[in-house]
Amino acid sequence: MVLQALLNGLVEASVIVLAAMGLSLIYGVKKFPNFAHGDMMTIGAYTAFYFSSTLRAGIIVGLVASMVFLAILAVVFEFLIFSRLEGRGPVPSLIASVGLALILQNAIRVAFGTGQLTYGIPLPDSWFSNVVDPLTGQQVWINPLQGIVPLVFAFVVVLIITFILQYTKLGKAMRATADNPDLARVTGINVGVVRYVTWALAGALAASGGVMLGFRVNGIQPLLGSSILLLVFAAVILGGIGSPYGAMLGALVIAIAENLFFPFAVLTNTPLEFVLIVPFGIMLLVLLLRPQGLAGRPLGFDLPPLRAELRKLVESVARTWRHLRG
Amino acid sequence: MVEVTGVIADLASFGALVGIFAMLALALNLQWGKTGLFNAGIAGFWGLGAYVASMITTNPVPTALARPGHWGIDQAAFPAVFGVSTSFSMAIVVAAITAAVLAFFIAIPTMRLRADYFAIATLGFAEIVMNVFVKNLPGITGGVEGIAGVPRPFEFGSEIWKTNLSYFLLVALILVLVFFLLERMVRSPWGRVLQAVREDEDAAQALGKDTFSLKLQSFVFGAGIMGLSGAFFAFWLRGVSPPPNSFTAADTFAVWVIVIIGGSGNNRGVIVGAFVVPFLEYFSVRAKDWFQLGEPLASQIFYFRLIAIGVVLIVLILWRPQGIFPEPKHVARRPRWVVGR
Repeated sequence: MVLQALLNGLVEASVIVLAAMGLSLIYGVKKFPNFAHGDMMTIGAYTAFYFSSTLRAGIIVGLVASMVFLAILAVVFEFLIFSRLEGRGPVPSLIASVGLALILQNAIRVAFGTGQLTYGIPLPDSWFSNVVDPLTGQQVWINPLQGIVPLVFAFVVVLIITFILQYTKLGKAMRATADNPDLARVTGINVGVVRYVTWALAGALAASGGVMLGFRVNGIQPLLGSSILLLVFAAVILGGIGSPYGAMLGALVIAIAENLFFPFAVLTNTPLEFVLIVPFGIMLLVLLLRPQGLAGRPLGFDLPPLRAELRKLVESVARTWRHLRG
Repeated sequence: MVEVTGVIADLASFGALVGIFAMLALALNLQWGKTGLFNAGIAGFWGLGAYVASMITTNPVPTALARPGHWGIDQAAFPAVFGVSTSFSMAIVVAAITAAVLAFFIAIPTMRLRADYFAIATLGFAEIVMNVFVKNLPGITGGVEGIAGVPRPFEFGSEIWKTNLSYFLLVALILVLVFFLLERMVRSPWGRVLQAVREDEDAAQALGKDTFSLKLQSFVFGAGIMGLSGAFFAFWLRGVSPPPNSFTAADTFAVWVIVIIGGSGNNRGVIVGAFVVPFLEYFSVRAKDWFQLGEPLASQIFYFRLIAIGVVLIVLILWRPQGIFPEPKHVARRPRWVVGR
């Protein structure tokens, strides 16, 4: 069961990493957490559904079309909303992204209804390996559509993104803008264009993540993307805000930790729904102990140690108490 | 007569919901409007208050095969004063205190985080409290079924009084008390320091103010009011049910919409803003009958309501971030002992 959990974790990580890289790119360049990212994934999954089931164009066309559509949509969001909130700190953009999330999620409910839909691809038989899990004595298995496809797809996309960020001029401009927009501008980088490109890239990544998530759970519904948003945030924060490589590592750690919870829950008789505590607990620990994440460099803000804060708190309570006693 | 009774009952029910949301908005206005704390976990404190109040005002239901069961208190144990069971006053107080205690323990580790991280952390906490614990502890919280049959404080007397009017008046009274208490608090030296913390925490710290403790006080007090509002919501609904029916992130952001429409930092504006969300809710329920809507639109109008909230949020943030009623500028009155002009 542990081996099986590791394998499932790897598959889940490949879905999360697609979303997390996009979220991390936006967090890095635009400096705000995009709460609409989960619903952008859902829109991607439904666009692919529309092309493959309603227009009968096939799922490959659906995947490509949804990535293109979401890239355009994300650019429109930046043009209409987020470019106008530039320079007002993270909170106005955050609130606008919440509004956007409400609009997207409910637009899907209006357009496609609230029920579960499927891509209409018959589920192939699972592949059973010869490796036997020592805990349960069952063979380790993986489904080609639910497991292999997301895994391979995410691997290829990660390679492409790494190449873009590391070796192209565009990627260097994006990293420079994320690092210091003012400095990037005086070096001659068109920061505005970089922001649009970042949104387009993040939109395409979100769309592909949504489609792969649809494959993995074998069905799509209006809460598909927003239900894993907390996991994606956990991965991004664990990896370090604005660091796509960190997001890859974070996604891997979060997904495997989450899947290792299941054998633990079965052994200790814990309800399986408590699984959400694992990624959230990891996220909170990282925020408290290492807010720059695993891969990130120290952030520009100062965080006093927890112990000093607690001591101050106890002192202030004691002071109030003495005051009350006279 | 039946017509009039029905209209009054309807309006009173709507008014009570406005009052419940106004309490939430006042609490958020203390946390965000005055102190600058981005609380995205309102649904958690609100829901906790509602569940605690429901458990105190209902008899325990043991777990059986077909029903999850929940904790409760034997209602006969509460003495009745003037025909009203004291379990209600008990429920209101305990709900507020429980939410405040939860807020205290959440705040200790997360209070030091920047606004955007704090938002993610509080959102996650609300999710854990409502979706993980409350939903999956049948036998304590009623599991996915929630708690039904929660009574309202004054269910006796004449028909008009019994329906919704008395409840509306009670909520209005509590709202007025909360409003004046908060107005008094934010105009006191304590409230002024909170505004200083919001504007520039480092500067406030440099002046010797214990900003961590101040933010903690504001957060805990606000969460207490949210718990209070949750108790009144449970009475209003005559029960509680877990997400996705109630206490979701959409509720949290509905309160945010109220504060942003009304004007963050302005308590009066926020109460005006509190009409918007219940009105949309009321409108989406009634529109079907009013306009004789056909089937696809009749069930979709609930989603159009949420789309409208999202559009309002974005439009306000873009063009009027200070809200309809901006924060009033308080200038200290000239002390009487100052001589001269």
